[in-house]
Amino acid sequence: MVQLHFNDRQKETIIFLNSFDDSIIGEFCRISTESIHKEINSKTLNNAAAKLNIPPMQLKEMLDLIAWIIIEGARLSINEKELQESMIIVGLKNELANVIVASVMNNMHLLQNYMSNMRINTLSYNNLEWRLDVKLATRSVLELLEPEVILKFDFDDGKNKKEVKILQTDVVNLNNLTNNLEEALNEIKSNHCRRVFRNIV
Amino acid sequence: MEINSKSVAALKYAANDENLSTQSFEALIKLIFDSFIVDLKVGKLVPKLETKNLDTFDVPKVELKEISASFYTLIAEFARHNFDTVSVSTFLEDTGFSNEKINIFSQFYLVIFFFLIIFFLKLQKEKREIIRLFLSSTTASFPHVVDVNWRLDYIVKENNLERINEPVYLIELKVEKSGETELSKVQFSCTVEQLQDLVFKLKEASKSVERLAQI
Repeated sequence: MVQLHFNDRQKETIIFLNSFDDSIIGEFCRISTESIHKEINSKTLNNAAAKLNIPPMQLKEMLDLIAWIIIEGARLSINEKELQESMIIVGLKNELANVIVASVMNNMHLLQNYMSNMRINTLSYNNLEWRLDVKLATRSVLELLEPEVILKFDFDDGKNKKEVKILQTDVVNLNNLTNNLEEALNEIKSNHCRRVFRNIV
Repeated sequence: MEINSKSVAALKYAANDENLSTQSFEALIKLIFDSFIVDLKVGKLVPKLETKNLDTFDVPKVELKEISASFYTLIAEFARHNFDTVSVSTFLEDTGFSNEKINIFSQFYLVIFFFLIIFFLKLQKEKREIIRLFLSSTTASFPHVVDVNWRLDYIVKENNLERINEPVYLIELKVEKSGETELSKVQFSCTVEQLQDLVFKLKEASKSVERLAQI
């Protein structure tokens, strides 16, 4: 059961949100989503605060709270029910919670996309090209007949940096490599792995 | 077959029985051929000639060094061109070696350990092959894959994103670079689909090698 945990200051701000109706909360959600991309203009903030008859600091706190809910929700991949409950538990009104939940769900996918760009990226395999050669002679030895496989690996490290590695093998090592990697592939279908995948949710 | 004039001169010197007696010749040749030791631990050829053994010869030191060097060059060239016994004998004859010396050289070139003809036929290539193996390790090449290690992980969560639940493979290729004794590693990660693609392509490669062997 995933839940959003609010600290005391945030709980106070939630209670304060209750004094507005749902259309205004909807506006808040829209502004908060925008603020995730670009910081809010302080003049607009002051104007809005004046119109609502509240100090600008308080408006900023409320907008920040809603932005936090959106980001945390995306991070935890929270679902609607869990999100709704988390907010109602700390005292938010039902209708207002609905508005905020709708906004979070709309933006979840986009935000998760952004966050996946911040993941730890190891060098990842992209493509393999191979070539079969027969070595006929070198400077030191003439009259050879040795088969050789050249492997060209394309790697990608997730930050638009591509790496190309050219390696070679002989017949024996190629077979060893293929067999080992095939074994690795079959491991995923094993009972052990299936049980782990099923039980870690 | 190209041998520089200095070596040719040294060989002619060694061919002359007055400079190098047949017994000394035999001893020297034995020393040289035995120096091609196969280091079983590394699986490689490690030539080692103990210079103190050369002190026992009654040939002046400078000439002795030149003769030994020229023999090594000669053996390398024979191995490079894959000469058989007949060609070796012909060449030595042309350089002026006596029949006795030619026979001694050919014997070591062939390495007759046993007097049975069957073993003779099997072993006659041995020392030559060993030398060819040694020479072929000096060629330029790409890093050579010798081993692979893999690991299957399951990503549960990260600090920026929870509930990921994705399996990922970490593959490590052990690679031998020419001129380096230590093996280096090439590490990368891949998803299940990427590994499937990789294995498919490697299988294609090994199948085409098999087909080549059948032609």
